[in-house]
Amino acid sequence: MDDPIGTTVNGERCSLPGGASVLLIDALREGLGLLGPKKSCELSVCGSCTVLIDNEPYSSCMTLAQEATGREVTTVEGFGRRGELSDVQQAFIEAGAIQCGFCTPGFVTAVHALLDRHPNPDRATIQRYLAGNICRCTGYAPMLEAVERVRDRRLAAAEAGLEQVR
Amino acid sequence: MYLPDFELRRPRTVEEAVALIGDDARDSAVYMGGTELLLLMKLGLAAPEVLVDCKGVAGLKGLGVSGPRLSIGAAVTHAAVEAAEEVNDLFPELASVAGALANVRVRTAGTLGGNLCFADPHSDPATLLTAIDASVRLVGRHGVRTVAVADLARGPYDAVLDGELLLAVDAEVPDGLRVAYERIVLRERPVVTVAALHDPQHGWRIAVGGAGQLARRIGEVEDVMNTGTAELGDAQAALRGQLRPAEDLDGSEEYKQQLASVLLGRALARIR
Ligand SMILES: Cc1cc2nc3c(=O)[nH]c(=O)nc-3n(C[C@H](O)[C@H](O)[C@H](O)COP(=O)(O)OP(=O)(O)OC[C@H]3O[C@@H](n4cnc5c(N)ncnc54)[C@H](O)[C@@H]3O)c2cc1C
Repeated sequence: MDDPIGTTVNGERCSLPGGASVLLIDALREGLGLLGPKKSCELSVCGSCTVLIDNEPYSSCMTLAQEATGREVTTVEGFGRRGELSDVQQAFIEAGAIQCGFCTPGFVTAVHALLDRHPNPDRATIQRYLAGNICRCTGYAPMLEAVERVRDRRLAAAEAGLEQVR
Repeated sequence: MYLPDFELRRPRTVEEAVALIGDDARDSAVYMGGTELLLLMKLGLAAPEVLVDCKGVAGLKGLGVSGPRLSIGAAVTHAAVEAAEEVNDLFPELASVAGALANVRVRTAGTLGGNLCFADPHSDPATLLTAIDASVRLVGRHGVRTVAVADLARGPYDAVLDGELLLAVDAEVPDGLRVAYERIVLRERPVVTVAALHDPQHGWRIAVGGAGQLARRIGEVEDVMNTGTAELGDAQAALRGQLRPAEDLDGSEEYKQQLASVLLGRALARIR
């Protein structure tokens, strides 16, 4: 199983370091230099290492890199465009949903997945979805506000036929 | 934290899987979502030589209904249970339990079968499925056998699996079933779980889990409720003495007794 793994990361075909026991977070951080996913609890509890595989959220700290074979991985670096933030990132800044910043990549990634699955979530849905991402600074209220901003903007943009940067 | 080395195998059929799991020469473990297994390996509590990834085994992703019977394959994740139309139609409480446990990432990766095989006393689905007398189908070198969810474990974290693969979980959902499920969570997993079921055919079926013990039906409480004249206090009194919770980080024995009593009261009040 030492063959490099063919997978797509943030839209580009690449090979992650092989080895059955390599964790996805190490393959991303050490193999590809993608430092967005953070190591914190390393037990699937805190959400700082959240990445998407085929648009579903995973704890990359508790996922074998092998699981990504032939699939599409998105880290926080994969949102937005070169030099342009995604709508979620922009709303996090506006709402003051970032303080020390350590949990931010996981939150932003989870929010993208949330809005992908629930384009018009109410507050309870947002809270339930994000309950597994832990922040020790903000008190969470600004994050909820940021999600609601993006939700409202996306709905308004869709109505007006405009495109949002995701 | 890193994982110890192991070999990863990906059988495609039940026969291949059973041959790998049942190979006594090598220490192997079934690997599905890995949400518990990789955790144990990271913490140094397990170090199997071979992980047998059975997510790709044909047939294990199935989920189906036939009349009152619901069957959920071993590779079906909590997120898939939550989203499945069949489950939401026939047994919506199971869908909502699946959608509320752990966090969204564990629900994406973790399977219902893995949850039951891990035999964690803090399991939500085990409590609900014990109350409804669900069973699992296990396959090993000597064929397939059916085991009640209530009998799947000898004790905490000790499933009766003998080189076997769990194939599917089966439950029969009777007509006129009413369900109340209650849990209390202080850290990640629930401290105490209570499932109260009532239907005309079976009367009351009440299971309590957590509190340091695997989920089990509490016949004494069911009997009291089945008299038809019981007050909530009578049911709560019947529960006292039935649980032997252990003190741990979640709280003292007395505290857990109290939680169980309160959750039982809430559950019964909702459907009585
Ligand atoms: C942070 C966190 C929070 C959680 N919170 C909750 C909660 O609130 N409520 C709750 O109920 N659970 C909770 N869980 C547990 C979660 O439900 C389980 O981790 C998950 O369902 C296990 O499934 P898996 O596919 O990942 O199993 P794995 O980790 O792959 O396997 C678990 C064990 O079962 C064995 N096994 C798995 N599948 C089979 C099979 N088909 N046949 C034979 N053996 C098998 C494995 O060998 C291993 O020993 C939580 C877990 C975490 C990490």
